[in-house]
Amino acid sequence: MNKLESPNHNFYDFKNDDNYEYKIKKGLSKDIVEEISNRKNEPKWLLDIRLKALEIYNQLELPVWGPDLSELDMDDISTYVKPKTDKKSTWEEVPEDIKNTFDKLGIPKAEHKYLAGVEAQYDSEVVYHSIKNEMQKYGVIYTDIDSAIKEYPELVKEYFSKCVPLTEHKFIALHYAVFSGGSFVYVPKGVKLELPLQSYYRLNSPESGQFEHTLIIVEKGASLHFIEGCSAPKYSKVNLHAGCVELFVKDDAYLRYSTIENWSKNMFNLNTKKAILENGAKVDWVSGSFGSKISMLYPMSVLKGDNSSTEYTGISFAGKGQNIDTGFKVVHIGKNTSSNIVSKSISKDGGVATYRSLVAVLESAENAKCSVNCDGLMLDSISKSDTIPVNSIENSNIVFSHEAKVGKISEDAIYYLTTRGLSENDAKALLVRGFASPISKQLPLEYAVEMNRLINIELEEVKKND
Amino acid sequence: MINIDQTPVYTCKNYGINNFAIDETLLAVKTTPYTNCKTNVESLKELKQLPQNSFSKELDNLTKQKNNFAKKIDIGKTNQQKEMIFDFEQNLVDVIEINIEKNIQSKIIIKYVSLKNVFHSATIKLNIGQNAKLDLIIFCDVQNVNANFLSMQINCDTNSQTLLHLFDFSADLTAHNVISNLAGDHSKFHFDSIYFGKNKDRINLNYQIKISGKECETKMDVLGVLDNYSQKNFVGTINFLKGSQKSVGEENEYAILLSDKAKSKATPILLCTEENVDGKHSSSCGKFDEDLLFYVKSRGITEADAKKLLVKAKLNKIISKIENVKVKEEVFEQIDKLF
Repeated sequence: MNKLESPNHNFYDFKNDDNYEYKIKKGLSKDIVEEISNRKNEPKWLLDIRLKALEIYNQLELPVWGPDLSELDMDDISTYVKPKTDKKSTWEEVPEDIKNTFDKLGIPKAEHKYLAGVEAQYDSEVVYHSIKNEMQKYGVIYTDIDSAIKEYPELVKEYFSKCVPLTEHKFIALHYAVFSGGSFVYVPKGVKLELPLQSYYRLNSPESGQFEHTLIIVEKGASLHFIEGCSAPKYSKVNLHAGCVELFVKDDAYLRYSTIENWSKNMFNLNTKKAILENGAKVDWVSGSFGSKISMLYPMSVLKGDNSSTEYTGISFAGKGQNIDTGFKVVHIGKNTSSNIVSKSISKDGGVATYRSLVAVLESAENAKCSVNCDGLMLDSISKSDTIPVNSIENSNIVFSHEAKVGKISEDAIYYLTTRGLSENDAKALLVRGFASPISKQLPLEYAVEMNRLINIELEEVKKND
Repeated sequence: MINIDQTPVYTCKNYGINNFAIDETLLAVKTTPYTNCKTNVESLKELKQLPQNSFSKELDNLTKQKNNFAKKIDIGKTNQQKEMIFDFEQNLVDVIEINIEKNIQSKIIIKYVSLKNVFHSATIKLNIGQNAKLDLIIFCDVQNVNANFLSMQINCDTNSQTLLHLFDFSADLTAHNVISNLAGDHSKFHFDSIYFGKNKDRINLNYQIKISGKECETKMDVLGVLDNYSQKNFVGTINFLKGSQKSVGEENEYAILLSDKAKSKATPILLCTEENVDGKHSSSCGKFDEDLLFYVKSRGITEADAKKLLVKAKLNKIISKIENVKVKEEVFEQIDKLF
């Protein structure tokens, strides 16, 4: 009876030949780490970080909680794949197959219509980068991380790995050992970008990993909307994504960080994202997780400064063979901080959707306000939906509430809509769209091409099966 | 240190919900037979096969080796009220199994009282028969006790109804591990818990409700007050297992923080492998509404009395459900003692 289908990943499931300039041998070792660093001609301080990270990775155990990661074997993963091109500044210069890839994904079109700047990463390197001239006039820096290390070394060194330390967990240690690619953004004081910047990550090579590092600094009073998209074709063996996002949001600055993740169903997505907020800063996270075989993704805001605030709006969809373990973490440290978390998850066809979160209000966080709302929708009896929120409160002068619901689509609501002339599948599609609307509303169509397309594809599949 | 937590899911250990650890020496207690239980239960029998203590193997071993009171109660007749009062000045490791036969209704109060700095571990197993009803109050007035462990396992048969009220006016270290199995179709389990923490009390509450029967209903309300440097770690799990179609589960937790140094950790967990269910939970904590406190004081009431009034009002959601007047009064007395 229930004919709601999972998102159509076939759209993203197109492969180019594994045509690279260089693909490092599989596995993880000191030699491999040194080779990556040498190929990039990196300064010694960065090589030292890589080697330290490798040491930490080898010492740490796999987590005993969450999805089973035992299928992941680093001996089967190539951690660095250089495509047959350097970074280009026009699409015409980008090799045909890679250009076609990003054309299909709608990136050049979006750049033309809606974006202030675009970066496109293919396997382990950035292949295209552009930024509107007026941005540069205001002193905005938007470049790939490798270029930033060379062109702005002191700035990068000041912030690199200071938000997410090497010891955070095993896969961050792995990330720091083999990272390649990613974006560096610097928005000077008082500069408010009207149009967003977007980075898109495409992993084409099989049995490989993508470990991009994104570092964003938004200075006092500045404002930025950054969009991140990602996808990969499906292979029979495991691919790995262990990226890292570090966000520094200074006094009274604003950052909106939107992610639409649509990795293929062989992907292990073990990504880490964290923001540190100073006085009066605000960070809005918008997150759509539609892909990957296993996802462990918990963006985090540290409300260090007084009057800082954060909002998280996220949706995840776990279909057949998927285990999407995601949520949000917030730590209230400063006075008068606030956080608002809204999370929706949908599971069907045996998918496992888990909401896992942390709200920590430390002793210093006077007058903190926090509200959490997480809902799980199960579309059949073979799926799973779990909610595991941890709330740790150490200050009495706060306002805190958490609520969650889990269940199926209301039979009464379906019946009501069918009495209004809708088919059962149309009714279900409408209700699922309604369930997801708090998240889809956060992203205007012109900025969230990917996310709205994925939701719409899912709902179109419902109508097709009518 | 030994970890005695048995939460159903693990999280990153940095979150601290899976690492309730105690010093091994705490379990090195000596016990002598306890014969001071005041009870009007006629059908008290020796308990030969001890139920498992749900905490951990260490506490299970302690229960088997050092128990000084192990009784079984078979309730075969509908009764008004049965009581078991444990007034103890020595270490007490008690084991009680209560079997309510089908179609029987029973009300039972189990009370633990001690003013001494001693050790207490209770292992209670409840079997509620088909169509039976049990209204059980467990009252722990153990504020000087150094450790108070309460392990409970509750098995609910078809159409049974269980109301469990748990009041714990905490020891230096309090730990509850309550596991309820709603395996029978149409079974109901309503669970209320009130706790008080003061001084440097550590309170660890692990409540699990597993539902596998059809059309079951469960509700868990946990309210508490934390003062001074007390700390509480609450994990409440409602687990809708396969087969629990059309079941409904609700979990609510609220902690009043009377002091800036008190710490509250709460993890309300919802696990679901069955589509056609309705599960929800809520969790909240904070201090008194300052405006409300001011309003009450402006009516000529002292600050201490105003706070007592507001605590009683907050906890009244659970207290009002108690039919036993004496127990109700004792709960109010405990609130008065806090201030």
